[in-house]
Amino acid sequence: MPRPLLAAIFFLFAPAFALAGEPSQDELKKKKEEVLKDPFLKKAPWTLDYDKALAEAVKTGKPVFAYFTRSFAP
Amino acid sequence: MLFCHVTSHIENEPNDKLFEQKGGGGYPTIMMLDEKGDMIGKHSGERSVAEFEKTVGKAVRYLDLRKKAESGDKAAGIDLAIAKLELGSLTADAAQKQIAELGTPTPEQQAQLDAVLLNQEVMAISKSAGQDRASAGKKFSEMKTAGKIPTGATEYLTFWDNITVYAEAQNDVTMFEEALAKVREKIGQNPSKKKYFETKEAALKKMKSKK
Repeated sequence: MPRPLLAAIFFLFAPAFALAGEPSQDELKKKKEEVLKDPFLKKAPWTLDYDKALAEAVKTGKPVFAYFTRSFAP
Repeated sequence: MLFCHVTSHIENEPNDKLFEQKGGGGYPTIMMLDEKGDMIGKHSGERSVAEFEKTVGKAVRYLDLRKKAESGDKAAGIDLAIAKLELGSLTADAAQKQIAELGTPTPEQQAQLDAVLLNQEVMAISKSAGQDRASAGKKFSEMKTAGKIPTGATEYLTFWDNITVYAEAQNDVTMFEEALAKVREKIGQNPSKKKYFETKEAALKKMKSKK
């Protein structure tokens, strides 16, 4: 196949190639739900609400123990 | 208060960029935050009670230093700048500028500052080496010869582990054994690292057979 034709095909479908690897919003929501099912979250009184965590720190005078993880990628 | 944050990349999710705003890094990360949400401690190393206690202790010390520094205690100000540098909330240049404005560090403070800078140098070398861990290991081996050995939990393991990679590439059994012993001292009792040590032992056996 001639190179200019190959290049044209690539540019025509490039957005589709780029999108193929990206999870949809629904997939991202499902992934987050899966992470939130982790048993460790049931073993102690964790909050997922940042403002609530800070308000509690003000109230108790104790710092926030913050665990940062992700769901968008393994 | 225990707070769990999950970066999801879901559109319009409240606070989804919170981790990035706190300075980010690798996942997962454990931080201590004050009531305003400012980072006052960051956990590194093993997730054990002893290591968590160290992190909490450092956070408590940070709050104490901040209070003293705010009331004009210059020595506490220097300690606070070093603590901020360690947390990554100040760059090396900014920390050194603040320290210079506050006075001359004591020998203990200078040693602590040097230790933090060395830890950061180790992580910078490791990051820039990327997958070429043998090249990082070569640099760490040279640092070791110069007596520059990091003290941070993560930095220490990164340092010696990369030396094992370099030693393996060089088929240097003595260097490999020394580095592996240092790693073992720190995490040898951790059952989750069993496979790591099995892989390293197999590599050592192979190296010895080549001799």
